[in-house]
Order: sequence, then structure tokens, then C-alpha cells
Amino acid sequence: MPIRMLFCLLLLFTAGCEKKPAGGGYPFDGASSSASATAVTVRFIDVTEKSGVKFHTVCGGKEKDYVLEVNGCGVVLLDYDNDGKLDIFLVNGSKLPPPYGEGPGSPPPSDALFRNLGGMSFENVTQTAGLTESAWGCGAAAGDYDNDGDPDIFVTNYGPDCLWQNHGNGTFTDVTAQAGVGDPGWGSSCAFLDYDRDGFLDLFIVNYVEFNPANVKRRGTDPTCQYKGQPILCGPVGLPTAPCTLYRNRGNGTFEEVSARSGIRAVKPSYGLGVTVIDFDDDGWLDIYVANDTLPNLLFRNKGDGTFEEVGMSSGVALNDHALAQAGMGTDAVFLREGAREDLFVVNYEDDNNTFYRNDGNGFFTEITSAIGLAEPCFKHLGWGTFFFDPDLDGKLDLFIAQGHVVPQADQIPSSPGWKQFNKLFLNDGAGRFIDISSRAGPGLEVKKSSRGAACGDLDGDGDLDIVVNEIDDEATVLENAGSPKNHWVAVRPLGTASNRDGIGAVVIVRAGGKEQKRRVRSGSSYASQSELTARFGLGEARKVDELRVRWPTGKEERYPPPPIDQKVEVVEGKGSIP
Amino acid sequence: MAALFILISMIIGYWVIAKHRKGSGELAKEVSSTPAPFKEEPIPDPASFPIPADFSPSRKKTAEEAVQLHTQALDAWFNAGDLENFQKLAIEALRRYQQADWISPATNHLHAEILKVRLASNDYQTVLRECRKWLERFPDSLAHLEILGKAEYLTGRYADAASHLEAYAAKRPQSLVTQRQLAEVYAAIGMKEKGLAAVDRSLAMIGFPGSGFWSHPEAETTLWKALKVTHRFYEYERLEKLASVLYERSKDKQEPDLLMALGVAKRFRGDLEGAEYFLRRFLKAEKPGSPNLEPVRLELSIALSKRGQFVEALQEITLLLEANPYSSKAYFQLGQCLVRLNQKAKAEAMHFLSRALAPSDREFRREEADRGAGRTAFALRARAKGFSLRGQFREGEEVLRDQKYRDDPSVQVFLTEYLFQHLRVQEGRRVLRELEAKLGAAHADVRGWSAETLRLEGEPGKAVSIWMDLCREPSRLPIWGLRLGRTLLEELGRPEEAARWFDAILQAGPDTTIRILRGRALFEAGDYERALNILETVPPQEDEWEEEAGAVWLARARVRLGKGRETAGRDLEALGERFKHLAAYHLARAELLEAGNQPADSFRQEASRIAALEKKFFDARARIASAGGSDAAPLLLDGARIRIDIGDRAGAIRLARLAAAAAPKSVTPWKILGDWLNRPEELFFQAEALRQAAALDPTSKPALKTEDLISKLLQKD
Repeated sequence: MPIRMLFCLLLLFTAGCEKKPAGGGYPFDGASSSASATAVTVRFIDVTEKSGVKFHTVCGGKEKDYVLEVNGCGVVLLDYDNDGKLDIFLVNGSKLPPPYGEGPGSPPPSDALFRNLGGMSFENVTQTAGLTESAWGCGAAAGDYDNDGDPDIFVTNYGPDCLWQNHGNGTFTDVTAQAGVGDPGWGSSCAFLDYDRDGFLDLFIVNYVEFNPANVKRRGTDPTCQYKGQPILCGPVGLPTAPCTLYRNRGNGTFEEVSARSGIRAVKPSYGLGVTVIDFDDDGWLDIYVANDTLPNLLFRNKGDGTFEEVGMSSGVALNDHALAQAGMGTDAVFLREGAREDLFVVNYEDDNNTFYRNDGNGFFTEITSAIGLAEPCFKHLGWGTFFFDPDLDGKLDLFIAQGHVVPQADQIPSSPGWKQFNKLFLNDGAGRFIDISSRAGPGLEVKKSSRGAACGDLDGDGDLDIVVNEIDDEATVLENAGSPKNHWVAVRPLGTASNRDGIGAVVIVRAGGKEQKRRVRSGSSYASQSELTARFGLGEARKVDELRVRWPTGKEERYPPPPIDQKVEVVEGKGSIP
Repeated sequence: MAALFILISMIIGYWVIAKHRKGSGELAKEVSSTPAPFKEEPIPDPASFPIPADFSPSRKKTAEEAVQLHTQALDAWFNAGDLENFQKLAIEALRRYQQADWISPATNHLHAEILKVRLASNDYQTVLRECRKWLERFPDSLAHLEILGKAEYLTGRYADAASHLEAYAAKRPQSLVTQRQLAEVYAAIGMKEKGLAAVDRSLAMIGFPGSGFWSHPEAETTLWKALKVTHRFYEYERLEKLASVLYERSKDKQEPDLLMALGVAKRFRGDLEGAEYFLRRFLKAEKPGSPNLEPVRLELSIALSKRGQFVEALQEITLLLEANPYSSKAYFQLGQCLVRLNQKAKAEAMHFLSRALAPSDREFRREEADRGAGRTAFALRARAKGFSLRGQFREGEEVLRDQKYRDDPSVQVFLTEYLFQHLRVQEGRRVLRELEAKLGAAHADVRGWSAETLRLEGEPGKAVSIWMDLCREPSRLPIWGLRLGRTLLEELGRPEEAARWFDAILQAGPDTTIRILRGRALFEAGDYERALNILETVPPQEDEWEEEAGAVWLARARVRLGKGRETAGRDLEALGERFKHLAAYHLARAELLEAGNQPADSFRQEASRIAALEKKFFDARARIASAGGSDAAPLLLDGARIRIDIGDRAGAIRLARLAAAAAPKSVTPWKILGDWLNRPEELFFQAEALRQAAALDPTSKPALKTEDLISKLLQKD
């Protein structure tokens, strides 16, 4: 062999042996080495068009001259007709009348109910259901307030809220006046809960701002109303705050307003946006967490005597570690760790972290957002709807965040990601961290809109959780969970007898594969939205459920026969055995 | 046989490689992972550009002189390091070039070099002006693009800086310096993706994270810049990696900035043990008085707290608050520790104090936002206000007196405003005179603040005349209308006029303070019905309601009209001690009793006593306004004592603090503050006052030691 050729070969050999820089040659690949190693089986696809869910959310004018026009609306997943299939209720807004806006038009925008026909197909039944209305809606929650066996719907509005009673025949009637729940404020999120454990669902409403366009300067007319040099709407800072409202269910179809008497109004009103129900001290009495915009969050501890005391500051969930009040929007509570109490999570504004508060189990919380990987990926973004769920059914709770800016003027700000933003999906790595897998979770996470409310539920009956997002000034998005391979799962729907019929507030505990998981059946949460009321568990590689227990809102705990896997079961209060 | 062949091949191969590496070095360069540094714009030789042949003899002579002077200038700078001579020769050369009407690439470079020198001596306005002019003629001058970008960055015009540096970088993508500058600019604006991308590009240019990147001459500078930008964007995983690399390289492992970066990154990433290790080492290594001591101590206390070591966390917080008793964040952490140590009452007090100091945090954040948006004057004003809200009046003033902005009229207006707000009237007058020279006596800001001088010096009537004239222009109403209305109401006893002016301001838009004042003015004008209607619509939870004692006026209106007397009575009771320093409060109590045919002499007497003292304070304020510098200190203390007599504790403490700021070498204000600041949540303010007093006069009461502070905090509630 000629020496020159040999030299070249040897050259190639040694050049090939040259040490390559670690991490692929570029300083930071934008993800940690553990992130890139994480296997992702989750895959969401956008099936909006195929689903027949055609819904455009109207929320004010295009330029958002007033704060009323930016908060958008929520979504509720419920089985309104008890046919075993999850239906979709989407809240709609409206437009301000002249001279503040161009008016709602004719016909005015309405909330909408989509009936699940099976196979990820839906039909709009708003009219036949009697739900056509023209109020400026924001949030909603579903719960069987009269314990008659079908879920009713409560909608928060700018103006009097609305309670729709479900007649069980596919129709609803507005019973707000009779029920006495027409809170006149600008309601945002809401939740049903049985705070006094009398077996009837009470109602908690978070109000945002006292808003009257006649008293607020239009965008561009007040030089102090600007964000990073762009003139934007005025508020909420500078506008009157609004108190939360608590209605106690009398059990006869009516409610009494107990906000002051219960201590809810003993605190200074805030700019409330999100709410989640939690039992943070595990005393069996449901507490309420309110996410506030630019003001400290609130944690109302249920004292068990019909009253609450606000303990946000002392328990460590009012502010972040640096004593800053953040701009809280959506929120969720979660049993993230085995054997531990519920933690709290709040999504916040641009140029700020979302905040994860770990429940230390002694009445206190510790902020650990960055340590679990939830800080940096969302720092530049703005979150609204959010929930913990298990889309890959591996038994570890993952996290979804619906994102979008408050104002369209964000598109003019170089440092902002803009009005429309991608949503986020985080995978729980099982080692105490969340990994941002948004770019690897399928085309459904490539939808870029200005998202607001979001909820999850098994829409197609295949056992895993799908997602619906309410998008401001845009069409709602339906995302099907199309990941594979599928792990085993079990779904439990608790039905109360002494407790409220929906089992709202119940904790379902499943033991499988040597692990214990807990889910609370929760109304509300996220932002202005509500996910399915079924407690759904991914079993990972486990092939059977070893134990099923339910802790009912009235305090009793029962054990039930372990259900078969890959099925949804109903468990009835009183039909189990005492553990 | 095969094995022998392989062995021989390997031996030959290694010999070939070794020869080449030892020889030309070209092969080594090819396989090296470290790119060669990019050389910035080369310095052109002025003599290398031929003078155009068609120049007239005189023009040619001028051009030759230009070249000669140019050469001498470069020699003065690059060979002799004589910057002064360089400037002289360079400017002369440039003049000759202009006379000869000849611009060569060498001229371009010379002009840029002159501007670089100007930039280095902080003459930003000249640099900005001249760069822009030059680029209008020669838009392709990369040197000027670069200098302009730098100047814009240094003067806070971040968006412009980004655009010019981007233009430069587009033409010179291998310029490492520019990538670093871009990273910094993006960090200032908050453009995270672009900032991190610029960081990544700059790191790639030095070959990081390859094996040989340390051999790059700018490796260290680039890594440090990357560290700074990464920290700015709260990217703690990256921060930890970068800091670790630099730390491994450092000789003594004592570099404070690295210890801090590692400690903070580990804290956020949940490695609390690691965080404590590095943060403690930083506190030992860092020099006293460093501004980083406080944030690091805060992070340490948070790390300790998260590990459940609340007593140790409290100890760190104590040290922090001893150095800075105004930290809202520290009080919050202290409250968090105390509540976990079952000291609920103290915790609540500390949380309350944290919230009270928090508006200053909001101002500091507003400053950051304004700065990023290029609103420098507003940024400075917010920063100064932040300090003021904490009682750090001198620090706030220093912000607005920054020499960089002495020629900025907006900043000077805000400085005037600040000085008047803090009763440094003579100092404010001086600044106002300078403003007048710049803007003219007829300028609205000059007239408006001149009127404020008159008011403070005891001539409110003259002041309102000027403001009334100014407020004929609707755009000035929001700025001067409040002062006008309040002066009419509170100092001149002309409530009807005040109400009309407040009404005019409200036409422009809602304002809670103005609404309350309008209600009050209508009440004092005798229009109780309208007063009640207005005051009843103001949400009582608003901060302004408390600030303007809205509840007192509402109660008075109710009593006067006989509407809701019981409610009025309950509301007044619920106010507790908060408004007992107001004559209006005692009048409200008196009126309520009299409405029920009960004697109210004690309340009427108290109202009269307070009114008389307020008159006394009005005169004292005029004397304060006429004094200047440290002469104002004893007068401020007199004013403070009057406020104590009135029952206005907060006002008294503020004036005592102003006295301390006016006369930093005087012990009296500190002694007084040491006596007055005796509430549990004021522990650290008191400690500060005693410390300052002891430093000025060793015979004063001794300062509280750290151990004393800690044991007071840990004492059971």
C-alpha cells in the first residue's frame, strides 16, 4: 500500500479519535442531559375539526382596550346526560356596547354545550338544552347541587352569575334568582365544594375587579397604563378590588350568602382569578386557595365550624420566596408524593416563575419551583389553565399549562413571546423533577393560540386523558391523547349518598404495583374551568389494583373491592367496608 | 502477520502525526477544537491610501498634512499611549481631511477612534450625536455601528443598541466582542431567547465546551459574560454549569462572584447543602460593604429555612437586617422563620412590616421595567421613590443626583420633586434655578415647582395662583391639580374652590384619592349630601381610603345628615388609634355624641388642641423650608416633636429620619429615633438608630448586639 494512502488512513483514524465536545458540540442544547434522555410516549393531536366542536370565544374587541376584554373564558367537562360519555361546556364572553366597544352583535355570543356522540365526535346541543344566553361569561363549574342525579352548571359572569339546573332530560333552566346565587360582581373562577359537610354542594366564587368602563380610561389615553413601553389597557392595579363570595347550600334548592359570616370577607379584597379546593392540613375539612393577580394569594383554612381563617402568609403560600406577590392566574392542588399531603401550584405572568408550594405536612408549605424544574421553562410565558394529570398512565402525575399573553400588544414587545403562545406539557420523571416535553409531545402541543381555560377528561372513552382548551378570540381546541404504548389504568367515579352525590371533595386512594396514589375529586381548579370528576389512575406496569379506598367529604373512609384494570367503576358511599 | 501489519501502521501513523504537530502546526490547528480569535477591524495605515490625482495643489497639500497628522496621532496612541496628544492630533487631522474634503477608509477609522476615546471618558451625548451624523453619510461604517451600539447601551437606549449591534454582527458574525455585547443588551431588555442565543454563540466561538477552549485568549471574559447574562435570566442549571467551569479553573477557589453564582444556582436547584456551603464561603470571602452580601445572606437564610434550620436562618436574617433594616424580603423570611418557631404574634408583625415595605420593592421593579423600555428618567424616579418609601432618603436623593444625568431636564425635574417632598427646599430651589436656566422661567415644570416652594415657605396663596394658571391647560390638571386642590382645602380653608378643582380632575378619569378629597371638600363646604354620596361609593378596602382617612369623613357626613349614626359610631370605634392625630376624627366623635345629646367637650377640646398644633407645625414647616443643609436638622426635629404632640407617630418618625439625612454627623436625630422606635417590629430600626448614635457619640446608649437581637426575636411571644 502506498505510504501516502497509509498516512491518510492513519490520519483519518486519529482524526476520528479526536475527543468530541460533550453534549453534542453546542454549549447548551436547551435541555438538561436528563431531559434529553427521558423517553416520551405522550402524544397529543389536534382533533378540533374532526370533533365537530366549533366554538369561537368572543371576549371584547381585538385591541383589548379594557381589562374586561382579556381574561377570556373557561371550559367544563361533564356528563350532562349521564350516558357515560363526557360532554363539553364552553363559556363565552361578549363585547362592550358603544362607545366602549362595538357591541355584542346579533345574535350575541353564547356559552355552548357539546354532546359527546362517541368516537371523539360532538354535536352542539346548546339550543335544545336551553343554554343559549347572552351574558359575558368567564368561568364555570359543574356539580349536582340538588343531589338529584345530574350535574348542574354554574357560570360566572361579568354581572350576575348564572345557575343552570339540569332536569335530567337534556335540558336546563336558569334558576339563579330562585337559588339566590346571582352574585353581581365580575366573577372569574368558581368551585363547588361541601365546606360544612352537610352533604350539599356549596359554591365559592372568585371575583376579579369592580369594573365599570365609564370609570376606566381606555387604552392609550392614560400614559401610566403601559407595559414595556406599549400602551395597554388600564388595570387591574388602580381599579377597585373585589371580594370573594361563598354561598351555603340550604339543601332545598336555595343558597344563602355567607361570605361575611364565614370570614371569607374578613380579608381585604383582591384581584382574584383562580381557585382550587384542598385539605392542606388533612383535618377532613375542605380549605380554599385563591390565586390573586398582583396581590398575595389567599388560603382560607376551614375551621370546621362554618368559618374560615385566612392563613396564606403564615403558611407560606401567599408570596414567593422573595416576598413578592405574583400575578396568579390558574391554580391546582395535587397529591404529588406518596404519603404526603396536597401541594399547590400557581401559574403566573411573563418574566416571572410559576410557583410550586410543597406541603410540608405541618401546616406550612415550602416553595420548590426551580428545584423541580418548573421555573425556567415558563419564565418568559404567561399561564392560565393548568392541571396535574397522568396522560401516559405511568402512575406519575404530569403537568399541563395553557399559555397566552394578556394583551395583543405583546406582539410589539421584543422581549415578549407574544400574544399567542404554545402550551406546555411537563413530564414527571419520578425522581422529583418535571421535564419540559412540549416539543416532543405531538402536534397538539404545536397549536399556538392565546389560551385561557383548560380541562382534561377521557373524551373518547379509551382510558386516557384528553384536553380541551378555551382560546380567547379564537376557536376552542380539542386535543386527543394518542400516545402509545398504553399503560394500564383504572377510573373511579365515587357517588355520594350521605356526601354530595358527585362525590366532590372525596379522595380516592388506589394501591397498585406497590405504590399508593391519591386523587381528589375536585370541582373548579385550573383557570375558570373544571376537569372530569372521575378519579383516573395510571397503573404503569402494574397489572392489578391491590386496594381501593375512598375518603368521603363527610369524613367516612371506606374500602372497596379492587376493581378490574382498564375499566371505569362507580363506587357508592355506604356500600364499601370500613378499613 | 496481520497483527504485525497493524502494529507497523500504528507506529508510522503516530510518527506522521507527531511530525506534523511539531512541524507546521497546521494539522494541530485543524484538529484543535478552539477556533482562532477573530481580529476586530484592522487599523488602516493612512499613508496607504493615495491622495486622488485630480486634487488641486492646495487641496493636495492639505490632504498630505492630514495624513501626516493622522500618522502622528496613531503613533501617539498605539506607541506612546498618550491619549491626550492623540486626541489633539486626531482632531486636527480630521479638520484637515474635512478641509480637503477627502474621506478615505483611514478617515473613517480615525473618526471612530476619536469617538472611542470620547466614549471611554463618558461623553455619551457627543458620541451619540457624532456617530449618528457620520452614519447618515456613511451607513456602512461598521466601526461606527459598533460604537453607536455601545453608547446606546451605556445610556440605556437598549432597543437602539440591539439594532445597531445586530447590524454590526450581521456583517461581522465572527466578532466575539459583539456577541458578548449583544448578550448583555438583550439581558438589559429582557429578551431571553436572543440573549441566551448570543451567549451560546459567544461560547461556541471560544470552543466551549470543547477540550481546548481555555486556550482561547478571551475564554475567561466570555465565560464571565455568559455567567452574568445567564444569571439575569434565572437559568440556574446553565448558571451552575458555567460557574463550575470557572470555579474549577480558579486558582484559590475563593472568587466571590463564583461562590455566589454556585451558591445561588444550587439553592434554586434544590441542592440546599451545596448552596449553604458555597454561600457561607462567599460571606467569608467577600469584602465588607459589598452590595452582594445582602442578597447572598437572604439566599442562605432561605436555604437554611428550606432545610428546616429555622434558628440558623433567623440568625442570618438578623445579620442581614442589622446591615439593612429596610429589606421587605428579609422581614418576610423572618416572619416565615418565626411562624415555624411558633412565634405567631412576632411573625405577623414582621409579615405586616414586610408588606408595608413592599411598595418600595414595587418601585424597584418599576425601575427595572422603565429602564428596559428606555424611560431612564422614570426609572430613576422609581428607584429614588423605592428608597424613600424605606426611609432611606439620602440614598434616594443620590440616585437622582447621578452625574450621568445632570444634563437631563426630566431627571432634574424629578430631583426637584424629590427634594421638595423631603422638605429639602433650599436644595430644591437651587436645582430649580438650574432648570430655569435650561428650560426658561415660563416652563410649566419650573413654574409649578416654584409655586411649591412658595407653599412650603408659608405662602400658599401665591402658590395656588400659579397652579390655577397652569391648570387652565387640561393636560396639566392631573399633575398640578391635586396640589392645588389640597392646598385650597387644607391650608387656605377654601373648600368650595377645592371641590370644583377636584371635580375637574375627575373629568379626566377616576382617581380614588381625588374622590375622597372631593367628598371631604364638599363636606367642609357644607354640602353634606353630596359628600356622603361620593364617600359612600369609595371602596373602603382601597389603600387611599386609609391614607386619606375616608372613614372619618364618611362618619361625619352620616352624622351630619342623621343617616346611619349607629354605623358611623361603629366605624369610628373600629378605627381604633389610627386617626387620633386628626382633628377631624375628634370632631366626628364630638358630633356623634352631640347628635345623641351627650356632652362632647373632651373631643372638642382635643380637636382644638390638634388644630392649634397643626398651625404650629405649619409655621415650623416654613422655617424648615427656609433653612438649608444641616441647619434644617434641628428644625425638622422641632417639627417631629410637634407631630408627637399631635399623636402622629409615623409623621414624627419620618421627620426625625429627614433630620438624620440632613445632618448625617449629628447624633441627636439618631438618639431620638432610638427612643421612639420601640415596637417589636421596629427592633432593627431601633438597632440601627442606636448604632448610628453610638458611632457618633460613644457616650450614647450602647448599640444592640447581634446576640441581643436574636434572643429578643426568640423570646416567646
